Amino acid sequence: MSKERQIVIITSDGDRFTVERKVAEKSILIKNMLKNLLPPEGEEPDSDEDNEDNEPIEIPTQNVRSAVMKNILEWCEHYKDYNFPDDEQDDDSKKSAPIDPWDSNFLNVDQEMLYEIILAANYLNIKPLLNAGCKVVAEMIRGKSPEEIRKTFNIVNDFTPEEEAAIRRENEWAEDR
Amino acid sequence: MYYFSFEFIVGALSRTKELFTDMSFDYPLQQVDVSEVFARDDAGAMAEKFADGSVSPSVKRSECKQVLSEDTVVATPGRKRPSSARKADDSDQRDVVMKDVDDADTDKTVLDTEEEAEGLSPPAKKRLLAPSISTHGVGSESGGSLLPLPSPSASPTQSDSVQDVFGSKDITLRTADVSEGSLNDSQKVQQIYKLIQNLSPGSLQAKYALWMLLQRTDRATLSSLQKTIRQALRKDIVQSLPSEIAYKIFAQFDFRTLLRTSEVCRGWVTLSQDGSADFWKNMLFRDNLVKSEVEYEAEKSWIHKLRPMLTPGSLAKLLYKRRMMIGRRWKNTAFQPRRITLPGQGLNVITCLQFDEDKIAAGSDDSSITIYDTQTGKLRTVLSGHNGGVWAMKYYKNTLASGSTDRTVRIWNIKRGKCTHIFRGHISTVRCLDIIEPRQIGTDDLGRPIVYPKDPLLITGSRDATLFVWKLPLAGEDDPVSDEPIDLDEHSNKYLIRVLKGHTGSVRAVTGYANILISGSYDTSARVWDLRTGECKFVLSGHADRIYSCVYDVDRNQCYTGSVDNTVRIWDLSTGKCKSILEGHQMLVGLITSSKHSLVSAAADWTVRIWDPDTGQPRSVLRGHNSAITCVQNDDYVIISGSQGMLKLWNAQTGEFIRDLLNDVDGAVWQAKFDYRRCIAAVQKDRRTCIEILDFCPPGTDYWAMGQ
Repeated sequence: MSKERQIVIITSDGDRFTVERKVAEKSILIKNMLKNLLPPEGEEPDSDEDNEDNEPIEIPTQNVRSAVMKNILEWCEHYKDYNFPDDEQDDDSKKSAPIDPWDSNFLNVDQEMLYEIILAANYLNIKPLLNAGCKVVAEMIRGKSPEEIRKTFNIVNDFTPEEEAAIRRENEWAEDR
Repeated sequence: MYYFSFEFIVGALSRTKELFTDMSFDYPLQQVDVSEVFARDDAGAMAEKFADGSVSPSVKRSECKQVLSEDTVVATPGRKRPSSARKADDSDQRDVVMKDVDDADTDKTVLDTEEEAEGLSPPAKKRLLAPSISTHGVGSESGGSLLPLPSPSASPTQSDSVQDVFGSKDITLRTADVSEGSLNDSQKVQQIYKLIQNLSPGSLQAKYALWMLLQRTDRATLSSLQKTIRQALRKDIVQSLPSEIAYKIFAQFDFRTLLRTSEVCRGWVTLSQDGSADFWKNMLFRDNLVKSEVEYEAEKSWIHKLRPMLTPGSLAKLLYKRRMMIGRRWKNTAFQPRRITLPGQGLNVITCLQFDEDKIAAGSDDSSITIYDTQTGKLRTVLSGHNGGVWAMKYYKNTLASGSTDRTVRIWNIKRGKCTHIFRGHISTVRCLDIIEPRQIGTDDLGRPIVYPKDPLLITGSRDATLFVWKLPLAGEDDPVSDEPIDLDEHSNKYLIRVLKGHTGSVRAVTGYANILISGSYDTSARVWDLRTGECKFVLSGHADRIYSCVYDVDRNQCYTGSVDNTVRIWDLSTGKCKSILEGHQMLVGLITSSKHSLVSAAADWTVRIWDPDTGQPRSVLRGHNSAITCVQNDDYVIISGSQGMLKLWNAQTGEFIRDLLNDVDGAVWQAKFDYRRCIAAVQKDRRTCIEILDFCPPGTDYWAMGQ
């Protein structure tokens, strides 16, 4: 029995996370990297190369810092035995499935962390997490007045009063029921 | 170097409560009332008083003592953990705390406590900080350590501004000046302030200094700090993200939210503009305001011709607005639709009705089918040839198929007004039919779409208990037509694909999508067929009496059947099992119709009922008719239902009655159909059968298409 090679993810700030293969492979980016380095899961590695097999595979992720990676890996760990349906992998803008409660709770973090998780999910190509992140941001906006939205995201209103009035008039129809 | 980076620690701070609890081990006791001072709204005023000497430190000291003795169990007010939850290694600390409470009036004791407390650095803290730095050493070591930290022996400096900033905190740090002897608190803080000013923002040193301060902060302050930090971390995530991600966020919105985002700031306007055409188009479909791509494209190119200056985004938004506004007119009883009445000749029964923007087709028991112009109501043509009443009819583009009591199926070229084919084979009345359009049913190994059927199919169901599957002969508008239709018997008909046998009674209803066909029969069962093979996948049996109607809900992979046994049943098409029996109707359920969000049944018991298609739970009972319901149709917004002398409009979401669409009908309402702007009804009035056209967007009121 040959042991599976260790996978070590190295963050931008130098932390090392040793992870199970199926956890790491929630990231399609890493999955594709591993495809070239490892035999398909469940298959024995070629015995000729066994002297290399004990070396851990190091995966540097230059855009993700440790604290963010820790969150990402927590998410991957939670879903490691779950196979997302194909359509979840695709752009689901036409569908509007509500966000999974676990994801919603998981992403209940400060805005900087949420922002970095979304960026990291995008970079690591973890579509279900990216979609969940986008849904959380959308939820922060849905049903709010423009002023409430500005407050939520520290946005400065840069319209002139005339512009603002014009846009509001243009949008009036939506507010009548 | 660091096993855990600082980011991790701060990240953990905002997420886990345990760290706060661990940190409380290290609280020097004399800081207890920091929270008090912080919590005060008048902290600034206090600081001023203190600065000019009007409040002496001793006053504060006694307050402090009081606080301590009031909270003797845990002794540190910031610590909320019940004593029972404390770990064993905590006990030394508690002893120290208790001792301090006892001797709080001597500053010496307090000092001892502080030193002992520092000596008790919990393992958690050592792990979190750089191994090379002992927390104990911070106070005594100076420049030699890894990080330059304030040296206690450095000369004090005076600065009024520092005094102002830290003045209020001086009170709480008072014991330290006794401990050091040489510097008072305010001087120390001034010094720290100066040193901190020299740290470059975001540097490791600054982070470390912050971490040190955080460790010396009580829970209440950390709590307020957390709030402040969360506020400070607010940023325009949407604009900071790459535009393709911002697009994904915008794509989630409903129309109202999407419009509001355009009122936020200029940046968001630009951001939402890029995807605007897609967002509005997707919403039109998601909100079921448009049923098909063909319908969308037709309206889009029509309005584009009228208003060529519109950008694709504005055009899509306008389409949405137009549909939404016309929809509101139906519910607004002050708005009266334009009405055109097309009087007929006799008292024939209209058995089937279908219409689109261009034409209305009405099949009659007098064996004819009449075609009208939808816009003007003008009679276009009468399709005659059947030798018995027409009881089933449907058209696809320019080809119309009809079934009759004369046992034949006829195919017509609508534009030419001619019958092109006669299909024979059924040996009794053709009672129902459906046309199955090509649909994508999957993808092959290379990702190419698999479409079924290749060409539209015609399915006819008959009282002879069989269903015939035909290839539909398509009639081009300009195809030459001979005066005599092609008359084909069962054995020489190249259009006949197969005959579906299995039912033991009349086939009363048929519906299909792609390769799936569902038939409902008087034999009390419904059957699910795979059109590709002709195999009967399931026999849906359970009804106690004849089935009158069936509807296939493709999205939910289930179907609904209505029966003379007064029930509606929901069938799971992955198993063929009955999911629910919908009870409530008191008489036969003749009609079922459904939309994305609701299932509607209409019965001879004068009621229309709305059900939840997922659970089968009843939502509303619509009462108001005073005879059997003869026709019903719904979408996600409204329901129309007809009975003797009445055509009613209901709110599909609430079940509320909205209005009577026709007030002067004295006979039957045979058929009624509607789309987003029109309702077409076949009614009996003054002993004559008429077609009524109600238009909720007549010319002159279409402000959206016309741009007024």
